[in-house]
Amino acid sequence: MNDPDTNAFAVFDEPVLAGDPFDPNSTRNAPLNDLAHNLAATRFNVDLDYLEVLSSGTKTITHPAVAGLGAAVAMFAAKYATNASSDDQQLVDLTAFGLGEAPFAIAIALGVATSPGMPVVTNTDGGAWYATAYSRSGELRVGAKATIGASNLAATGMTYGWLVFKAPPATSGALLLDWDPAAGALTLAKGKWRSDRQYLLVAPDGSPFGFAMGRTIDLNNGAPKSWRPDGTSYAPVPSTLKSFLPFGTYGGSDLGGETTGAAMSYGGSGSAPTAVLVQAP
Amino acid sequence: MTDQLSFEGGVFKVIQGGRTVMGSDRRHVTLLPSANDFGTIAAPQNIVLNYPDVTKGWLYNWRARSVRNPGLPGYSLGEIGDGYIAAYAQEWSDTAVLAAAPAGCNFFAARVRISRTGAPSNTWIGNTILVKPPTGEWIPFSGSVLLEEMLGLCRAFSLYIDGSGNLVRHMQQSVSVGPAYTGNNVIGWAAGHSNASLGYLGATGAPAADGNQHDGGEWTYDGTVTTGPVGLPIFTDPATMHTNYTYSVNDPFTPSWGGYCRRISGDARETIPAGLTDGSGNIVVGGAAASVTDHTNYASTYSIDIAGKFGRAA
Repeated sequence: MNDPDTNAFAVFDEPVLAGDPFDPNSTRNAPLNDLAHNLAATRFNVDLDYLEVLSSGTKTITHPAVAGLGAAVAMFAAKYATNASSDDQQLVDLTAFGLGEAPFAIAIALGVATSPGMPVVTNTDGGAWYATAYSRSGELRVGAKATIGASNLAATGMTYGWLVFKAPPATSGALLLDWDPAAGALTLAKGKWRSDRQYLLVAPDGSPFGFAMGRTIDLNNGAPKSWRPDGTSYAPVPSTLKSFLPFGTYGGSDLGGETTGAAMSYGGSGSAPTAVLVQAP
Repeated sequence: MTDQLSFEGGVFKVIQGGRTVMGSDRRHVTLLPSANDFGTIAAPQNIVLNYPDVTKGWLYNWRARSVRNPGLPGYSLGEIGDGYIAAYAQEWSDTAVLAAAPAGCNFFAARVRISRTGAPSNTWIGNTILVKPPTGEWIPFSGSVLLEEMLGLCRAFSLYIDGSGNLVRHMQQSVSVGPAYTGNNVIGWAAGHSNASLGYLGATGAPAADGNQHDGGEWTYDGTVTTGPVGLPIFTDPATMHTNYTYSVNDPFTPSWGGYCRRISGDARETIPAGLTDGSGNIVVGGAAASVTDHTNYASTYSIDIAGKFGRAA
């Protein structure tokens, strides 16, 4: 429906089945001119930003090997560390687009949109790489930190995808709907939306990836557990790692007799966040 | 044909180049106009996160060696003590509403820029508490981020639209359970030494049956824990929290550092310092209450810039 008075153009589900179907301001047509209160019923509105894709692609980033402790991780073990190694690499050069600011972007790994610090390379005894995508003017990068576990973490190539979005275009022309048979392209709302562009969709088919809509990390007992949007999870601190008090030394002799406490691993009851499956076909 | 407007099975689709770009069985992820923004890159919303200090007590690790002087009635005694700041188990969280999301919004396209404006004052089990994610950079944000991760200490920040339709920030801080408490203010004994023989200085006459040298020690804690785990030893300072004595029998005992616990066997020749007896004259345990002055502060403060757009993905 469109409203010549306001230049509004929208495709929507009628939120209530009451009111004059031909009145742009009737209750059933509320999504047309009152977008902010009827977003759930709106399928298309000329004022919305449809997250048009400016750049997309994939790149394999190899996170370096991290030497393990060679022994069970433990308190006071000098090498057990949670910020032991750093890795920072460019995911995509965006200078050609002349963006004046850090663009909104999504980095994709392991089939899901990465939340900051998502575990991407993991082993079972405490070693892992945690990746955070971040954007600058002219580039999207992946910064990663590692934890060290008992065993080595091999250098691992991780394929990252990216979607960088552009600001919605200004409207141009007067056509609300135009079909160009030669180009096979549908244009809606004065050029605001075109079928030959890529947009982010919630889609039931194709190759969607999960996007988290809630908390992805829970803490318990001094340890974290991370959930990816697909429900998989990773808790780095192994249950074999237990707090203890070393009895100490005297004259260079270890007095032995450490008192071992409880496991320092995550023992909480967090759960995976709700997530939507999206894609940009 | 590749490019088409399709209406099949009650489903309308716009297909181009094999891509279903629009359809009545799928929705765009949509963002509201910029008038609804919660901060922009040029003018971000700023929030401050104050993570509290951890709950703390102290521990004291005392070790001793007694050596009989062969053929002589005397013996020498050495003692070492190390005080530790200890952290008790803690599960802390805080949630605050930043804004009511516009009606129907369940999606927040956010970029977040993190900086730590107040760092913990001391190391944690020997390691500096670093900020885990990149700082001063715009991070596309969904879900949560682990701001600090140490052995036994984690801090997380989450930003999301909750079930009530509010944009909320969630802070969480967790400290691990410490080692087990084993009773009698004594945590562990050196192998081969019983409670009674620890620090045994030897009786007049024949050397002790188990040799001339006795090593041992104990952990004591601040007395606020009567059952269950004690704190994690998170910090010690060799310059101010370490003592090292050697002296010979009957030397008057003069502690030079803030009080401590010690255990000495009863011996006819031992002058037991006043206040260190347990009433029986044999075993002296922590007669003077040990204490450790805590100069540490593990609080962290973060400044978070947010540039976000409300929208819907469903």
